Amino acid sequence: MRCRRLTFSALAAALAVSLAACGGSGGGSGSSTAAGQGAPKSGGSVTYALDGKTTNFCIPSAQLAISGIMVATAVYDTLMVPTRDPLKYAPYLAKDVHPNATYDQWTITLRPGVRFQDGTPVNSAAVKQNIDAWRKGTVLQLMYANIADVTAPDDATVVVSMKSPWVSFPAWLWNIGRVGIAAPAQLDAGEACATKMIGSGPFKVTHFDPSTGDVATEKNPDYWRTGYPYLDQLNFKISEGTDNRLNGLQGGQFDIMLDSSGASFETVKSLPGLTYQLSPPGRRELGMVLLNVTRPPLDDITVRRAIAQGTDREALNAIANKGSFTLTEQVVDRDIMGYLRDPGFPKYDPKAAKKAVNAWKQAHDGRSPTFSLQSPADEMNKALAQEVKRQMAEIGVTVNLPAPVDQATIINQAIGNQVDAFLWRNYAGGDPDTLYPWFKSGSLVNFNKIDDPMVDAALVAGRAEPDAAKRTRIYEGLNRRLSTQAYNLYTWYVNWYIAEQSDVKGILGPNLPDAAGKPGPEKPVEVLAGYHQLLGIWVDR
Amino acid sequence: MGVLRTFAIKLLRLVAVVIVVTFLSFWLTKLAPGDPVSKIKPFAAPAERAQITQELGLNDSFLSQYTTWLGDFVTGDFGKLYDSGLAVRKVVDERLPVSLELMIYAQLLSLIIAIPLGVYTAYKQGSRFDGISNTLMFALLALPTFVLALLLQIYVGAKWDLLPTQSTVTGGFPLNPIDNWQLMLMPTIALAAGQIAVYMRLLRSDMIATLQEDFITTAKAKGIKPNRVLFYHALRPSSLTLLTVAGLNVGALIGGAIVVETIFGVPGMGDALYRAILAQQYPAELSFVAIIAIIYVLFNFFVDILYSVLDPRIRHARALA
Repeated sequence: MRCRRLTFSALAAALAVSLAACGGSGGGSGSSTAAGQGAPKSGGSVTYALDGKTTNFCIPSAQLAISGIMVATAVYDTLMVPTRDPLKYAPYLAKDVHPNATYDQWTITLRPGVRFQDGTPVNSAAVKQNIDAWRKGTVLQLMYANIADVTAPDDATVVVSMKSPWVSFPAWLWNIGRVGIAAPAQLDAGEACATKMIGSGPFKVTHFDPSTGDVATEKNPDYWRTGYPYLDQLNFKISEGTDNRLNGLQGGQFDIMLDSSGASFETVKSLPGLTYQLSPPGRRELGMVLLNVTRPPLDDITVRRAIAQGTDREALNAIANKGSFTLTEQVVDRDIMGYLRDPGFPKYDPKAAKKAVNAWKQAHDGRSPTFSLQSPADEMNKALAQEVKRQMAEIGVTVNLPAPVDQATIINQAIGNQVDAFLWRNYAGGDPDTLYPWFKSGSLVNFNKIDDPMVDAALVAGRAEPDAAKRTRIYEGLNRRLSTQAYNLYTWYVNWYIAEQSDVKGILGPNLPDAAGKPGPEKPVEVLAGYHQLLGIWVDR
Repeated sequence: MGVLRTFAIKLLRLVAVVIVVTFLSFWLTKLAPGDPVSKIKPFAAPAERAQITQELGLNDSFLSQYTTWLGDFVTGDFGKLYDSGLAVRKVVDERLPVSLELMIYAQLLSLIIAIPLGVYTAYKQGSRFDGISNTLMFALLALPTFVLALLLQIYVGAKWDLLPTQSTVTGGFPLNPIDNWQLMLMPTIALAAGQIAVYMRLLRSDMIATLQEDFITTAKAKGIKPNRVLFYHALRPSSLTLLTVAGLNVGALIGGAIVVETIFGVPGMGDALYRAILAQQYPAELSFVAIIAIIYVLFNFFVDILYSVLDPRIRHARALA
């Protein structure tokens, strides 16, 4: 932390000047890689500012957004982790994961000697208990519905049998960091499962306050990756609002923060004393106005396409990101299987939109198409919702803006089919099979409530197809269908970034472990939808 | 006997106000559309849904639900935050002291600054100092709390690094006096700024009127020093309006505290209420609102009692009644 001086005179001067005009900021420094940082040092404490609280860390029932995923990454290990190749996932807590010839049975081999933080072994019984719990989990059950059976033939082996071939099952053993392996003592704890966090990860929880969402952790001295983690303490502080986190980082209260706003990233780049890691182009998450296509008038493709045609997404981009984000017209980024040069998403054409809306009105007794747009409570999203409302009014569509609520509540509303549309971001770049639960009919997290046989067929076929060329064609078809139907009003690829004090190093972490548990040749994924490793963070103080 | 009677009447009024506020709040939560259980616990299994329905008495009549809730509330059962499983009582126990601390600091800071400034500007009415003070106070009055809070956070906290922008303590609030004071200073200033202006302007105008009174002229004629005239003879009768407004302003402070606590990450009641609203935890919202109403009413209750201490005429009038 920086030295802090406090005198009444200084404070009075500060207050006086703060009431005067704003000054400019100094020159910036930045880095987009973790290389060349010197020899890591052990010890120290870091405070990581996250954007939203998580109240439930019982993995099978938790609804983890990025803030919860980062805490889970500290406490739990997943069986697999992503690599820099979107289609490749590497064994992590698992020593090896391989399929049979028909991809309908996967064998997970565990690393020997790994223990949970309560001293119990990470063995096949524990992993089976976890996978079985996912299959019953509120949200996870649909994701793992293709699992027919899980057996543990010996202490180090788990065999997962599928109902139908599942080529990309390894991606689901990471599931964007949502499926850390929890100790049986946590899973068996009943209601306390939500707060009694016991994993095998690099950090142990010393304090969790579900009221604020703050989590304090300390080094797990028995961590199976020898020499890691470097930090003695890693504390997660919930600080809602980008500006709050940025001010805390600048003021020295926070050491690391994550965010996905282009406007704030421009600020970070201009601030001295900070470095940053930016999610590279190619597999970024998407921003969107998610449309519930079962709720009139959004159940009508004419209205959805008119909305897409009538939305000036550049103007929205200017509000949210100072225009710095790349617009998208499809569900995947360019390095992801299924990407298309032109997926057929309606182009910006307010005249055509107006015409289509007028035609719709004539066919509906002169009524304007009307829908509600729910937004989270932060200022940027509220401003975006206002701008969408304004643009829609110009083409004759009425948008109501309900009182903003928190992100968890929006998810609840979406699952409960209680919203027409909401501002959202999702679909972090990985294997395209990870789109399955979001668009498969009947899925709890199919927030759009899409029930489209063409979409279903593509999702099912893509999941089972081992041939890369055929899979590519399947997912291109899926992508095109989603865009032409305008199921989502896509906005932009989201540039997630991690900003940290310049004396905080090793954000991306070491290379992934080989079979012996030592750093091997496989590099860790760069910032992926806010996710990154935590065990390699160290402080040069 | 008269004093006891007055006290009893005031206490009864306090209870009546709390009942009215909680009843209206309760009624308001019932007006919200949709199934309440789906809102507070969206993924509850059927058995859990049934349990919540029973806990909240959702199948009972409105009046029965309210009286049950009130009965639980007065016995200290404030309900539960269904999203985290936390008892509201636990949250209140942890957070209420933090909010009260912030409100007391803000009230004290505003009075400490406003009283001498109000007295002096009244005494020097029409002077350059009076003019500058008035202009500054108007500016403070016009500045919304959240704007000042953000300005302080950005400049004093982030850019100049004089004070922490927010607490880094994970859970709770630091009890160490220095850390605590450092973290409280900016929220206190943000919350107090508007009040300073109100109090100073009120006191100034009352003081100007009082300074025209005969007893002040008499005191001056007796050769009593100006400071004693101002702060002993004139301030006491001039402070009744200030006291009334200070009591009523507790409501504004509570409103401001929600904003200030959220911006500075102060884990107080305002922050808890804000989070409960965003998460649609209406049973908890209701308890938070009721507690805030009680605080408000209690503050004004004590202010009412202070009247008679400050002004003998009120005391005597009540005694005669």
